[in-house]
Amino acid sequence: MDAGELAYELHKLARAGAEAALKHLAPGLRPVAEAYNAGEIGLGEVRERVAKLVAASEARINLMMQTQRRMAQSLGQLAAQTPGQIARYPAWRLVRGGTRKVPREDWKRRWDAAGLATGWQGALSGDFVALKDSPIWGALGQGAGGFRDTIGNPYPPFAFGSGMTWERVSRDEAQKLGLVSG
Amino acid sequence: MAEISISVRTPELDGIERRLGPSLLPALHREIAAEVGETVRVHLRRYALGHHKTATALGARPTGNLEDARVEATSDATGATVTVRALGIRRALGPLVIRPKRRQSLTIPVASIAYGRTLAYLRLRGLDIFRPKGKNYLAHTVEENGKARIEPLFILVKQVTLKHEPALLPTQGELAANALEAARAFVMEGKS
Repeated sequence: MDAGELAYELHKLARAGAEAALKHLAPGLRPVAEAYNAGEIGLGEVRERVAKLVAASEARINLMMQTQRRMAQSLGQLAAQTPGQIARYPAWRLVRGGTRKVPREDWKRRWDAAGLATGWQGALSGDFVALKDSPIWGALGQGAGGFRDTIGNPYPPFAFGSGMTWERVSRDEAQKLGLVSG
Repeated sequence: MAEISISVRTPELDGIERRLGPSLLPALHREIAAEVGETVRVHLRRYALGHHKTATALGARPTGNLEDARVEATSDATGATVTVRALGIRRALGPLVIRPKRRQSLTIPVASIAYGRTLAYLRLRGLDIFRPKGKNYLAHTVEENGKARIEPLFILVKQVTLKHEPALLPTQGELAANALEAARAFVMEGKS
């Protein structure tokens, strides 16, 4: 991914985040705008009501923004890939990147479903490790196995609120795991 | 948001640069930036996972400030730089003194509901927050078994000094070794 592609992807992310937040807030904003246009409330009241709406939607908006941030982090990781990096670290390991009060316990099922869907091409079944170009990453993001909370991207966080991320795996370790030959 | 930049220079790296010559420096620096950037990213993630003492003590959800840290690796012909943007990241370089910019006091959360939240946010959520007479904290009233009780939410202080937290980042030695490893691999790959 070059700088232009990265900038385009980040622009798309920012726009999608803003649109999603607005879509979520729109039903509540409409009556406020109508009341203001009808002269029933002033700007001070508008500010107060909008602030209350945003506060009431905090969890949802935070989830959207956090997901966008995590996606941007992954895009940054992908953009930093050089031929040398790929040669020295040919694989990713899926790891928990954020603390959750109640972490999802279904990543093994997700991984197995994605592995089966892609014939375990470049991926291990006993460990969350796969080559950087393995199709398993795409399958994870597409929700292989019927998971409906996925985002559709071949990079973390894969699903809303997942807290999952990538850590690179060295060539030595990938060889020991049998993912690459010597 | 606070940011710090990391640059690595060692005599060995200088020697490799001299041997390679100027035309290969942008590619070499890109390799070093990618290597050091990823090392910093992994380090921050691991650090963040093990450091939620305040949130845990209050029974609150961690703010995730470090998990959301932005790590950018940039490079050009003159060198490689890794920039880290995260709240409080300057603690990595030394003690960090925080003073209020617009208010008289800083608010230090002492209740789960207040952790990671602002006073304005809690008021918007409908909490009636007040400062009990003669006290240096903000509180609200909660009802328990039909009795009203004052629950402190924030302690008010004039300034806070966060202690130096060098473990927030890999050591300079680790980063230098990391950069050197990337540089040597770059040279080897060029020869093969």
